[in-house]
Amino acid sequence: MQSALCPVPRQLGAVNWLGLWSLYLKEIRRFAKVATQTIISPLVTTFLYLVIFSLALGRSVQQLGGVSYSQFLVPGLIMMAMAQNAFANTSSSLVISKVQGNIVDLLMPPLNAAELTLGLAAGGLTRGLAVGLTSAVVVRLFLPFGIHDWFFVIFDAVAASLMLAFLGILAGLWAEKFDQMAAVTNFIITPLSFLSGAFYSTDRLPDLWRHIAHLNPFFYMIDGFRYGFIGHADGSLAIGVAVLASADLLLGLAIWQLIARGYKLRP
Amino acid sequence: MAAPRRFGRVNWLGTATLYRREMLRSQKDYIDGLLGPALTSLLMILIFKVAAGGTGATAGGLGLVDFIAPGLLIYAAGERAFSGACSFLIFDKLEGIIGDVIMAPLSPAERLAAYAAAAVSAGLLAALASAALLYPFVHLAIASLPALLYFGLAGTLMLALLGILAGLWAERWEHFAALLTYFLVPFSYLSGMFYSVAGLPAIGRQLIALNPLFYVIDGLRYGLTGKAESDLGTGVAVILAMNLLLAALLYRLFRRGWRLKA
Repeated sequence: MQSALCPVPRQLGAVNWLGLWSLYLKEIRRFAKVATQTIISPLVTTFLYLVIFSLALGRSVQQLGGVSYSQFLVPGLIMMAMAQNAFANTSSSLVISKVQGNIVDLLMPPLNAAELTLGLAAGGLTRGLAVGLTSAVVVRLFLPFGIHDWFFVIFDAVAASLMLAFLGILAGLWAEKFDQMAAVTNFIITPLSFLSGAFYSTDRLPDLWRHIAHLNPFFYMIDGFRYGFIGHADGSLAIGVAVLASADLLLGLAIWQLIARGYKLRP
Repeated sequence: MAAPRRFGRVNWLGTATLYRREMLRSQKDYIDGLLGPALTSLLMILIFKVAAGGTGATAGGLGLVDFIAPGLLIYAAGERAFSGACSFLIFDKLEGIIGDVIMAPLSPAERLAAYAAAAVSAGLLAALASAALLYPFVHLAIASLPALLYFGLAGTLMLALLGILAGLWAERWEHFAALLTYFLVPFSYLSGMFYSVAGLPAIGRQLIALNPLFYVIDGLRYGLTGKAESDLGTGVAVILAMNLLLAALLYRLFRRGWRLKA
């Protein structure tokens, strides 16, 4: 009787599943609507790199990690595409919302900080995996490759996409303008991913530079992922798993705290 | 009542003003427009240096990295000229401030000249920034100054004119993104920037000979290294013809106000 007179707020359990699911769907539909830019365009880029590096170096670099140079390149290129797109999804979602002012749509609904973190990150993760799967399927039509170890393929694909999705949230929280986001992409994400060993074996580097390269978390995601395909790794696989798992955990916790405090989100 | 200002055959002040405005806005965007492309060029060189390290990889009679560097420099210029010209026009159209240019007492030729000159200047600045960053890592010298100047200027101008055409045509930012991903980057990267055409199958060689960007890259490489894979005379003629055609087309489009006036 009372509820007919005065609406009672919907009761939520420990987790607002419906809200979380809605946020996730919003993040998915955001990129699915412009699939030519978000899925097909990375595929074109992957193909371009594959063609130019194979043509430029395929003859001189006969074998790398026990396979042809093109086959060495494929896993690294797919991983780079996944990483860049997982990052782009979360970072652009936040920056566009902040610039356009519809960030309130994220802050007003009954979603807590953990749910926001999860919903956004899951969107980036899904975009990364969608790009990776599409690229892998299409590249395989032209350049057959096998799978050596499914665990590392799946673990690295998920852990790396998640790491970059988290980094994208972090950058999106920090940036207030598109210029700042372009700077993060140009000066941090692109160099780290280009220099992560996607195009060469880090065994070729002088000692000092090899040690430095092995401090780059992006190195482990490419190395582990490539091991899943070709069965050869430059670095330690166990360290790679530990680095990626702890990076995901730490970033997830940090972002949860930042969102809970409303860092650059609430006045 | 004040009489309208009179000017001679050419409105020099107006043309220079439009040029200055376009230059100022490209300078504001220096992180995205100058440092970003320069760093990308450097990354490419470093990757190729490490990947080719110790294999003695060559292309067109040069060390691989020395072969690639000229292409990266002219790409930096062309990319900046194209995307600057294109994105500023789209921005002005979307924001409705294109009226500032349409209303000003400028003839179609003056508008075209100011836009093109600004895009070429921004492109050359981007190439200089890339050259400065690459200098410690590759062998950069001038082998033929006339070739360097002609292919550098005319090649950048070609991309600037294409950028203006694209900017007139495009109506949304999605169009701009699509042009970069599906036209500019693939065409440039596949135009012999990274590999010698000698290594291509016959069909690849015939296709690339139809691509004006190939002559730009090859000609500039001749200017910097003294080695060319194509006939330079053909390159000069192809680029000149492209520029004249594009300029004539754009002049007509500006005069008609295509996609600029309601």
